[in-house]
Amino acid sequence: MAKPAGFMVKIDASPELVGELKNVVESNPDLMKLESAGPSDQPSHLRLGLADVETLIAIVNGAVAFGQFAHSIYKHFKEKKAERLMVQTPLRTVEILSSDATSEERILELLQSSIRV
Amino acid sequence: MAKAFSYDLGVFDPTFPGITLHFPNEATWKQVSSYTGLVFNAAASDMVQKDPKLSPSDLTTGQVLKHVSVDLNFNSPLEEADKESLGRSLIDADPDEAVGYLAVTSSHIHERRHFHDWILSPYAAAISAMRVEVFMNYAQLRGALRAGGTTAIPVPITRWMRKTPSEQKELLEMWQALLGDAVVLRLPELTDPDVLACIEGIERRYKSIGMLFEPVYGFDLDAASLFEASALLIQTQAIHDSLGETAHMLFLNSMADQGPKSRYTWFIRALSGLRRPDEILEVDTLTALATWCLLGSADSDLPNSNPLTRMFHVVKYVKEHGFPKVDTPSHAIFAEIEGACGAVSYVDVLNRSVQLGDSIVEWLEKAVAEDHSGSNFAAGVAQAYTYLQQCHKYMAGLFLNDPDGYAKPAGYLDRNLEKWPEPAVRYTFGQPFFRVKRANLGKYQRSTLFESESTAEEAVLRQYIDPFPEDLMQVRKICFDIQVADNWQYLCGLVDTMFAEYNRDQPEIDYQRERARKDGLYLLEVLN
Repeated sequence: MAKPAGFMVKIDASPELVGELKNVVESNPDLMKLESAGPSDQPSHLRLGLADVETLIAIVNGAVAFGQFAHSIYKHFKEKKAERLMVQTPLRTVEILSSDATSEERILELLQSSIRV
Repeated sequence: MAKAFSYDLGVFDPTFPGITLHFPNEATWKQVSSYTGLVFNAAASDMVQKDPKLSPSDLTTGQVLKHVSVDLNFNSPLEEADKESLGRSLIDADPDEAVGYLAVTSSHIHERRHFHDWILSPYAAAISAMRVEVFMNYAQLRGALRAGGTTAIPVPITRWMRKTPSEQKELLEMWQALLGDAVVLRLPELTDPDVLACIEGIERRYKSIGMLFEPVYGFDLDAASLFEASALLIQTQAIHDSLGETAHMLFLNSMADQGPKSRYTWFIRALSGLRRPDEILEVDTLTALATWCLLGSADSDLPNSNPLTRMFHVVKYVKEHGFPKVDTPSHAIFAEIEGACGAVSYVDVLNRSVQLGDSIVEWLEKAVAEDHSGSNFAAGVAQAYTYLQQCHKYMAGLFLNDPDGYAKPAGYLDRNLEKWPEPAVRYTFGQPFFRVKRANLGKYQRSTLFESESTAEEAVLRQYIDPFPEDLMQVRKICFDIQVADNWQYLCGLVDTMFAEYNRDQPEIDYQRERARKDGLYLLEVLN
């Protein structure tokens, strides 16, 4: 992967969505590297809205990787109406709800806002 | 069939002494506003129907709100049939969304009970006391964290300190790549033994505070679930009292359908499983049992302090003895359970909790008098805690004098106007969409902004606080001090950002990060 531009991203979501995002990471080894994925062991605010929370941590290569995630999240949210996820980077935390899935671009915009300096 | 309401409007957040209504995005804000509008219209129609002399244009917001909340004190001027009719009109307006309406209409009651439980419960009071210790330790650390021109602090600090040198190096390289070469990363030196001792003290306390949110006994449940049970029971009773039986049953059934892992309903499901044939589950009894679960304290009775432990005592008691009769006074129910499980009496626990709080106030006063640092940080801690302690003492006094007045919904809801402290409401926004003209910003008290998205003409609100309405202050004697609420939130937010290893997704942490950024400091999240 292109190491110089890599940064860590953590995504908390339903097990189903985390599973899909894990596939995205594993299908793009030149853009992303999986650190871990599995049941969340951290209490979080997201738990108030989701009964089961899983966490994915990956090292990703910025904008291109977020594009891959955005596609997958958009598709998932269009099918599942009542879902949400939390994306954390070293700079920010952004919550994304299924009602944000007005377009793939909107999801991408929200993901990118998590690395705004 | 009515859709389940999937959005948690209110948030039980012990870092803010009041009610928090969180809107993660604009779509949620619009949805809730439309619900509120429908409830408002249904109530206004009801008023006009009952008094033909009224015209809709005569009605003020205050009058309609008063009507819909049935005079706020639940001494309802409405007959049972009127309540039922009002509830049905609300449901018929849009049956699919009816549960959402009911949840939004009654969310204030739910969150208000959280606030009252929080200032009454000795378990919660012990957490506030631990927070005070953490704040005072943090006061010692503040200088060290910014010494030597620090430009970045990895947070939570304790997670960073557990990283090996090679892991730290790797993280620093990633952060540098993210921030660009123009930013010079200078981290604080955390090697001084006094500094390390402070950090160790803070870490130890945070582990105890985190117990509120951490599952115990291998269950997917935590102590906070008991606070949810108490609030949900009061909320369902309030829906019954103001909107009738049909609305009440619709809401209750929707909650029961939430699934086995819902933290909102597991208490009710667990106890309903113990029902004997033909036995009716009484909300009065359930609420008293949930309230008892919140009355433990590690200081007086360590083995029986956690609300979940107390919940298991309740289950065991009910299994062996059946549910108490509905007219059994709360104090008798509590004494029975305490006798059966060997827990210290709630009377002793509450009295001891008040004494402990008073001794902490004295200790803080002394610490502030001896503080010659020139900073008002410690004085701010003392002021906020002293006020919280006064409220705890007040609530404990009322409770000990009349347990049924709090532990049974009828007592709690009927008498609230004369007794219970009234909290401020905090509105928080997860995304930058709530825009107001700068000229109007004064209307939004204690507002904080999404700075990057705000302009010279327009402010984008991250949060604001609504104090209790002035026109109702005349009847409500005790209103929680908005300045104290704001101070406590600031202290919790600041120190949680630096040290808490749970709830790292709470909005306050991003606010603190943005605040620090304005001071030239990056708070960089250590994600794992």
